[in-house]
Amino acid sequence: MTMIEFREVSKRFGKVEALKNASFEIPENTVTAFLGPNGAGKTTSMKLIMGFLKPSKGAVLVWGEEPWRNESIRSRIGYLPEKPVYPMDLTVEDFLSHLAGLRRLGRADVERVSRLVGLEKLMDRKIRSLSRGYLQRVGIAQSLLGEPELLILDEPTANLDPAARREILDVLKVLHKELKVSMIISSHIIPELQELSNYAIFIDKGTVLDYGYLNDLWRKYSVETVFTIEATDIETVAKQLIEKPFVHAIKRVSSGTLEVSIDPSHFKVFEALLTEINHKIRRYEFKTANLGDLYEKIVKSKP
Amino acid sequence: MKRLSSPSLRRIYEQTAYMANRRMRSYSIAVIITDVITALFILMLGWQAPVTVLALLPLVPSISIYKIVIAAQISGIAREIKSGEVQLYLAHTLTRVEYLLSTFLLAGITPALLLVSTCSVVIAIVAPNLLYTIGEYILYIFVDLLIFSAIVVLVASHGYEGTTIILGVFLGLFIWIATSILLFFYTYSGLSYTYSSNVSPLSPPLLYLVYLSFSICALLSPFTYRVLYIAYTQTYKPSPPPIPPPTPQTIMLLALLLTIALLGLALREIKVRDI
Repeated sequence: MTMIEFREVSKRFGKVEALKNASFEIPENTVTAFLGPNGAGKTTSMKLIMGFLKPSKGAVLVWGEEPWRNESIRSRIGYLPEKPVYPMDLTVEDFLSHLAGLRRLGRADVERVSRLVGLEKLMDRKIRSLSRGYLQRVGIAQSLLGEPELLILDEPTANLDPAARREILDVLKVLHKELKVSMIISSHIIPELQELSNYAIFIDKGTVLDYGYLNDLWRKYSVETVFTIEATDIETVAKQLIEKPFVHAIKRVSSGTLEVSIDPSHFKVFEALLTEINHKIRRYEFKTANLGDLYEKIVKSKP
Repeated sequence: MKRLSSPSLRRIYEQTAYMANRRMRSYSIAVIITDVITALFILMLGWQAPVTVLALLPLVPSISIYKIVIAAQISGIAREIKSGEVQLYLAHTLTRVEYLLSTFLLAGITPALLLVSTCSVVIAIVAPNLLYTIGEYILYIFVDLLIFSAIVVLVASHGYEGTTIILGVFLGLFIWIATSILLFFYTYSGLSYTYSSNVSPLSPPLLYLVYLSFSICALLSPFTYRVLYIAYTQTYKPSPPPIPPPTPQTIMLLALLLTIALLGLALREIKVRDI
């Protein structure tokens, strides 16, 4: 089922057209990577989804309704702005409690989200005393209040050092794993989204270049797909696999593990084959191809 | 998942209480300063008077101080819109209309209630004989602060933080001076009909302009006008102006209507603007 739909949406700020006839869909239960360089139109798109901006042209639909007109849609969404401005004079607890109060939530909900993001020991600290990494956790915590069906995170790792970035990504992974919440995450740092997302929208200079499930996009743009296979007898498995014409390469990465590159259009056939020989395989994992390569191919394919 | 009904009094209350907690210090200071001024002025000038201009004028500086505080508070709307802080609240089910109304409630109505209640207490202590007669004027103070708040809310809803403060300070400090001067000119404008046009500079086109100007000033500050109207009625006029000035009751009613209209425009602006 479609969760979000953009129908030929344009958004103009004075003379600048931030979004040009953008059309795309995002289905339910996806973790969507919103990819593009700075100024591509990612934040504008997210604000349009939240109903903070009104499209200059076209229609934005969230669960079939226009968020611009129907503000109640926001009660189902958690949102982390790109550059959140917090009330620095408040403690973390007071701030989160107020936002929880707006949603008719109690102290238990505040404690739950603070535990989820690892803020439970800093609740009585003033927001101004927090490091950037913890400020970003406050942002994620507030976005989780009310158990939203969709999380919109605009550059959640922007301006963070590598360690803090890693921490935030780990938190997001846990959230997706435990809460099964749909997410839309924008970033101009492509590799970090690769670990999380299964759907992507590529955008540049206000134009949507392409969108879809990553599995489909790998195939469409012939980006090599890689599987990691742990086998009981890797010699036999390797021999069986290499006979197949869609298998491009097999690399032994350890004594019991193979890395197999295949033609992405044969993704399902290959999976069926692995199921056939599952008695020889301990486990296998679809190790996605590089999102950066995909981005480059998509950009190059567009005029 | 809880759905949102719009507008919700509960959310307006939550947001207003939240903002009030953050701004309590500035209100406390304003209350202390204005109460001291009111008490001193009444003790020095008006304690023996029944209701006179002398007894009411001390409230003018208090109102000016409150207006500056209100302008500073309401300019926060523009700041929160520009900085994006408002997005955090709107993302948590608060609607745009609720956000504006809660700010108006906090920065407009709360100070008006504070001023009226604390002034009443101060007057009751230092000049209890004035309390009964001043009661009528309290409504004018309330409307005065309401229309002022509606004006600055309208400007702030367009995102002009600096303009909101400048306009607020200008209206707070100078509107009563402008009203006084214009009403003075108008009071003596009738002389031009009695004697020759050389006696008074106010010939009919200019006369109407002055009438319109002080009426606008009166609308923007009904309390000042109410006080000045007493002076107008008690002043000897050899020849009254051709059109009598509007009554304070008319001005107050028009000011209330204008407040509602301005608030409506501000709500419309906040509903359609990009945040």
